[in-house]
Amino acid sequence: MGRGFATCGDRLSGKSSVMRRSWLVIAGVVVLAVLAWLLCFAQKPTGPAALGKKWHEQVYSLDEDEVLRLIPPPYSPQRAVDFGRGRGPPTALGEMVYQLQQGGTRVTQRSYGGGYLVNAVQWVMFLSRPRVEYVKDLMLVPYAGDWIVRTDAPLERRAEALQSILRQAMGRQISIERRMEDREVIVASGKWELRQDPELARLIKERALGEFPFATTHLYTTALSPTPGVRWDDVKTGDLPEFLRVLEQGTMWRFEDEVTEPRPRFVTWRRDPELRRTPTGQWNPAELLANVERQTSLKFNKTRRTVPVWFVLEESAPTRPGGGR
Amino acid sequence: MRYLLNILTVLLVAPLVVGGLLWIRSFRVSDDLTWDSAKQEGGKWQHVQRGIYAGKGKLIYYRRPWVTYREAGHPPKTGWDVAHYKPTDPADSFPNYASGSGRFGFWSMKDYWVVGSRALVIPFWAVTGAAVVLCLPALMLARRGWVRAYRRQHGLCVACGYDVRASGKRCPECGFSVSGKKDTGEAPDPQ
Repeated sequence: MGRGFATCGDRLSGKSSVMRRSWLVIAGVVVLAVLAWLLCFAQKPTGPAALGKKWHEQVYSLDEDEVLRLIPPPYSPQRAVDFGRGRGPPTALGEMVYQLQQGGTRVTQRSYGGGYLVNAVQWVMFLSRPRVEYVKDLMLVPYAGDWIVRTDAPLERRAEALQSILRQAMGRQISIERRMEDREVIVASGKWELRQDPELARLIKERALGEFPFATTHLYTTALSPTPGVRWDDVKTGDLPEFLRVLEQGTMWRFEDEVTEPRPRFVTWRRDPELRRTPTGQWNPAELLANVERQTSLKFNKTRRTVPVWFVLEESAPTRPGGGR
Repeated sequence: MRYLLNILTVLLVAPLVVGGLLWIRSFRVSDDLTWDSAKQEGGKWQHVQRGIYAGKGKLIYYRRPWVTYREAGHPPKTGWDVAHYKPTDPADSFPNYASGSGRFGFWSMKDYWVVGSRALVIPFWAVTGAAVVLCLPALMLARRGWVRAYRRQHGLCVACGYDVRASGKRCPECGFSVSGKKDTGEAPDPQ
């Protein structure tokens, strides 16, 4: 009885051992198959791998809490495409400004002749030249790189970020601050009402400058450009504050907007090429404003007021010898 | 000893299995595993991204640097990231891929992104081949262990596999001691 039981037990243990091994093998194969399926077939991504674009967006973007970034050279291949090969001198790296708006970044400025502090302040703070005052030679301190700006960030926040980055990039204790100061300003008042200017119409016809819509306001002085045809780079559309900013930038006078309602939603203007070619100071800004008054019914009066002015200062001696680029 | 050998075998076979599966996967999904690091030097942030990209039978290790100036108190994000794409050949997904050089599927790229960027393309067959070479000796040793254990368990001679259940202390076929020791010399190979 005992022997028979033992024999039976031996057989059972032999069978169970084989069974156990078989189950182990089956389990191993199943685990491997599931692993293989999960690893190789479960996932179905849809987008192709455009790594160059992804990398560019990683560099040319801002984190959630970031409002400004400066990217110095060397630049990415996509940046070279954005800069536009064939534009400017072949060796120029140039400087660019990308504005971060809803849906991504877009290029808003390109320069080929080198970046200076004056450009950086203007591009990042969206302030025209007469609203910022520079101490000593700070205006022409060079820098190299592209700016990425968050457009919906408050001006004070952008100024704070710009100051921090300029200090690191230039190695100088640059300070950007806002003060209330008494300054000469041009007050733009009255109602925006376009008028036909016969003298202007005659000049346009005489010099074959092309056809312009009636709503185009021409920014010019004594003589319109003798170049026939229209350079559409000179024709722009924007709102009234933008139009006044263009006048500020052109005349280097500060404007105060007191234009009464109803204000135009859009304004189209054409800047005479002569204004671009001729340095400020060699033409009379008052004449330009008189011409605008004739076309738009606006009134421009020069007066003194206490207005906010941005100052770019240097607090102390350079922290790093050399500084700059 | 046998237990350790089994563990070693599993450890050496695992890369082969994973490598093979990733090879198949590279034709179904392109993976991009990256590690971003950054350190501040002289005011500027020096970023380096190291990544491994798999696509259509190729594995790429790459390194790409760039520089930024950021507002103080806003350090860049660093760490791991994984992205998955439709299977894309590196030649289509990497900028300036054609500027590299190589043979037999191996490819090396310099400055493909900006100055200082490097990438090395390794075909998956080479990865799998290396894994095979690595695990082959372990598999052979493990097999030998498994055969010996099976023979010992089933009353067979450990050396030649002859049935020694009815034999005395020595295998009548090869003379190997049933207790596991031979009178002279080493045991013959069970295979």
